[in-house]
Amino acid sequence: MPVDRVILRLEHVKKTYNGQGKPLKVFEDLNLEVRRGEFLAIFGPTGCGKTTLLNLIAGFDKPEAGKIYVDGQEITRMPESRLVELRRKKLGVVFQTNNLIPSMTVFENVELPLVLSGVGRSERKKKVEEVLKAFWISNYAERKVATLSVGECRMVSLARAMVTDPEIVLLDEPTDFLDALTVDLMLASLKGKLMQGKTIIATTHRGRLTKVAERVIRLKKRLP
Amino acid sequence: MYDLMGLEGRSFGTSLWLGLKWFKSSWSRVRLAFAILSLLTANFTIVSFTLFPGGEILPIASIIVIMAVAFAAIMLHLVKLSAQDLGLLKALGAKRGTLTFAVLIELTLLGLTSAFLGLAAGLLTLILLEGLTVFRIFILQILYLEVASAIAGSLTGAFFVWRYSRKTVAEILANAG
Repeated sequence: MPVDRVILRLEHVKKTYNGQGKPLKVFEDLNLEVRRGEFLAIFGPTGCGKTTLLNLIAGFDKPEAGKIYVDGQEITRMPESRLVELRRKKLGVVFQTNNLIPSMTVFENVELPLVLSGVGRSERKKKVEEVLKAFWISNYAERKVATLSVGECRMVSLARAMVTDPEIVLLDEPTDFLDALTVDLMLASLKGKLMQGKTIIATTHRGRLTKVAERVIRLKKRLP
Repeated sequence: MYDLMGLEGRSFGTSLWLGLKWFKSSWSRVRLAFAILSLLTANFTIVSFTLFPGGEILPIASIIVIMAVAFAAIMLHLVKLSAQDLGLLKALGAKRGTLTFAVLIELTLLGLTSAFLGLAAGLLTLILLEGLTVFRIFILQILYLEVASAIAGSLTGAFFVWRYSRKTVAEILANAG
């Protein structure tokens, strides 16, 4: 069976938030196709809907209208149990605020998606060690996340997203709050061995990331 | 049948792993709640023994209701603190049943440990105040009631998680953040 060249497709997507008193339209008729293995940057100012777009793609949020296909599967009307399976197998997400569990160690945080997927202990250990090494954070494995810097947390978050070897990696402002050196490290890791062949969709309001992406789409902020 | 509340396959093992890990690693978060619950239990023990030495069921039953409500309130507070973790775990692929059982395990451990420690503290205080005669009174009944109130509180917390986890990940993370 031939593999579809397009891994992600959004058709006529409409998303509105209930603002204070009146609805706030984020997307009215959004159409987007992302090719398998493509590195796409979504560029735009704060509040233009970049995170909303990632939330819709990951199935974290639902649109009012339109369809979203992830690897050929329509997710907008998919039952939660199937959506959970899809997320486990296909998606890796790096949140803007990292969303690590501070009281857990780096190893335990990275291990979480594997635990939730029911992977055995020895295989978990092997995979976590491999991914920690790939993102240069092996030395921090036993440290509590609360003791790490923002840049280190971002790398842990990226390692957690990659530990299940997902086909699509969603990164929400991955270079935000990072110093120039850590941004370099982050961008280098996005070009690293573990990311080869992955479809990467990253949001940003800075120019740096757009220079390494293969394609850039620009979102404009709607005036209320 | 095994898919009740979204629990399936290895989910129970995952819930157990998560629940124990939460209980162990989020100690800083639960420490205050733990102390309050133990204090409540100790007070309950003293009040039960000193005001109702005959072990009248009705007054004790009314106290247990108050205890259960207090336990439930603290459990709900803890669940609210865990909301971001819940949203995150859902985003990483946790099923609703897995999360509910993990929180149930965490809260039950917290409730039971607090109840036992609080009971020990309450009894010790009573012995110091009244001497060893307190053991003639209904110690087992008091123990049952305390365990029941701890479990009632845990179930309330778990029910709240079950309802919470029906929201979308974006809603949970937005509300928690």
